[in-house]
Amino acid sequence: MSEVSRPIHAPPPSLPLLPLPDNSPYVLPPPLFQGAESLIYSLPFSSLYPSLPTSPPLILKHRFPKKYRHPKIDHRITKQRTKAEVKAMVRCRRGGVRCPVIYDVGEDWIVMEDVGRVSVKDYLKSLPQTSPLPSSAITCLLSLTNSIISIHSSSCIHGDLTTSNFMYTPTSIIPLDFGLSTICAPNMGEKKRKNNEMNGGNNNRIESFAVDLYVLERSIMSTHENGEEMVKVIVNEYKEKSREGDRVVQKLGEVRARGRKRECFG
Amino acid sequence: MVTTAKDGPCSIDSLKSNIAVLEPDKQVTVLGIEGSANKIGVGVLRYNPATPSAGASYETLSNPRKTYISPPGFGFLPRETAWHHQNHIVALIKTALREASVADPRKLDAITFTGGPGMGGPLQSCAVAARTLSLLWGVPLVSVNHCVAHIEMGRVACGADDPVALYVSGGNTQVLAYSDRRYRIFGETIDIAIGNCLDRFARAIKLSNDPSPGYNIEQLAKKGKRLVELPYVVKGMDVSFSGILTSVEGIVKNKMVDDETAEKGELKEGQCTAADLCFSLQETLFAMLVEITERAMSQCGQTSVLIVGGVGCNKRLQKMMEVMVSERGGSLCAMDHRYCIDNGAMIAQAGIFAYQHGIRTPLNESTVSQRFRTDQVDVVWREAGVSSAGN
Repeated sequence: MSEVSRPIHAPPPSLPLLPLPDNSPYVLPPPLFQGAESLIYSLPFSSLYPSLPTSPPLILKHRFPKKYRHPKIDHRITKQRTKAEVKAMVRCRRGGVRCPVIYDVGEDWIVMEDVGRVSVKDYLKSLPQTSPLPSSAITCLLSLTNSIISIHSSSCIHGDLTTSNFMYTPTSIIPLDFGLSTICAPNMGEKKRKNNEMNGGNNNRIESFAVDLYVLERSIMSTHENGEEMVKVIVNEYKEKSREGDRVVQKLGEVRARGRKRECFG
Repeated sequence: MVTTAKDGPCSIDSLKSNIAVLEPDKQVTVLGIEGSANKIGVGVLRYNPATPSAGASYETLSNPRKTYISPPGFGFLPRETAWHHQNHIVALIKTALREASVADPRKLDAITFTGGPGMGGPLQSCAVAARTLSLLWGVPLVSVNHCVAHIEMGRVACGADDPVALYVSGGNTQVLAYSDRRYRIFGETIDIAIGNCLDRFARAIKLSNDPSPGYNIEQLAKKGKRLVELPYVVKGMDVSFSGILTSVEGIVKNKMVDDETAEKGELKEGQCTAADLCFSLQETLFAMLVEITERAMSQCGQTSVLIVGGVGCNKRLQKMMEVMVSERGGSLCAMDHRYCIDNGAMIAQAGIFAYQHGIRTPLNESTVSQRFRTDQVDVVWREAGVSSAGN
């Protein structure tokens, strides 16, 4: 894959310089940019390990207090999401997913490896928007799908799969923003699963994965011109490569049909 | 910054992404009929061409409406609501025409009506009225999507060209942004609508439906002190309310005490009053709405927000949204209740845009549908190139 230019996400001029997280030991420069719910700062490696000479770039993600929310709710949600994010990332790394390395964590901030600024969305948009899709787009989408498969096989549900929540590097596709993730029941294996279903237990695992894919599908359709083709590539790869692929993709059909019902009502 | 909806003529100069109409020098007057839920409204709207002293504008000449109010503890059912609409529509049309000083209705340019989404019976009642008038007066019909009508009225009234729209009402909860001739749905509820959740909660605590359950919750919430922990359900760009409703209904049943007990200070750990629940429910639900709106803004790089739909009248929601928007350096167009609540003029507004770009609905296609998604409408009156969603 060829190198693409790095778009700079400058903070909007009116962005207030918020106070640094109180309980973090770091001195921070002005934020790099504001995401949907957090401020991202770049952090020199030396602030973490002064004695080490090598310095991979780091970022600090701060879920700053949202003034519009009741402080109690805000505190609860922020804590919950930071915790969920770290938990999921550690779990995914254990399962072999190439997500950022975590270096330090506080109640509302995480220090992690800086994996660049080019999201899969930026990358796909930088390619020619042709039909059929250019081979570089397909390679990228396959790699994205395999990343999702690994996340799922780690029993983790991302909860917010979009092409902007994956970073693109020439060597790998890196998932980010696990704040809305949850951990699901482990894969039970055929016999145990059938037994469970016979006893009336419902297996939310497959359903959750299908919903995860559905979220991705919808976000792709609303952001990418040739979204339909992209979704096809992803779903086919998922079906083929994931151990639970057949069942998840079948469930995805049900989830879609359910979604369509929402056309109802004024 | 809050801009309030204007009632006088609204200039179209700020609507930069609107394509010039086919006949910019022709005055156009249309009648709008809305009745997709428990309100029936008829409005007369006029397009005034530019004069040497003023630019072209749209003016609401009249906009009367009636609301079907069900007794406390009950919601409005399709059949009774349709009867209500059928009983009032003729009087409303007469009032609207008289207030607007339309002497000869045969000179109207179009009859616009809600084609959906909404409740079948009420929609059908209004469509029948619209068809009858069309045949009686020899005036063409224009069918309008209810959700798009809310947005268009908000755009015109607030002079906001390309905002992220949060549409919150009894039947809908959607975050929308325009891209390439469609209002694209960025996030929405995956089960019940916000207004439905609030209405059903109001029923659970037996609040009056007059003037609206949501208004009464808002007033009672001002007395709430204790924040009760409720689920907070944001799933990516989407939200879910049904679990919250179940949870809060459970609290009403098991942990809610009357005001008297609370005043005597006999409140036990975990107990709360109806006011506390109103307060907690509002804080939780609205925080979720503001959050998904912020996500949509972040994703499409947009800075202005427009809240439309009945729940948009809630001052607390407006306040929270304003705080979020100003933190991002943007602006919020707060809506006036005349355009937030379902009414005829907004149908006329979206209808007149379509009419002025050559759209007519033939009689045999003037059917209604309960299901009609916002992103199914081809927005012919706006430039295809304006694309906020894709960037």
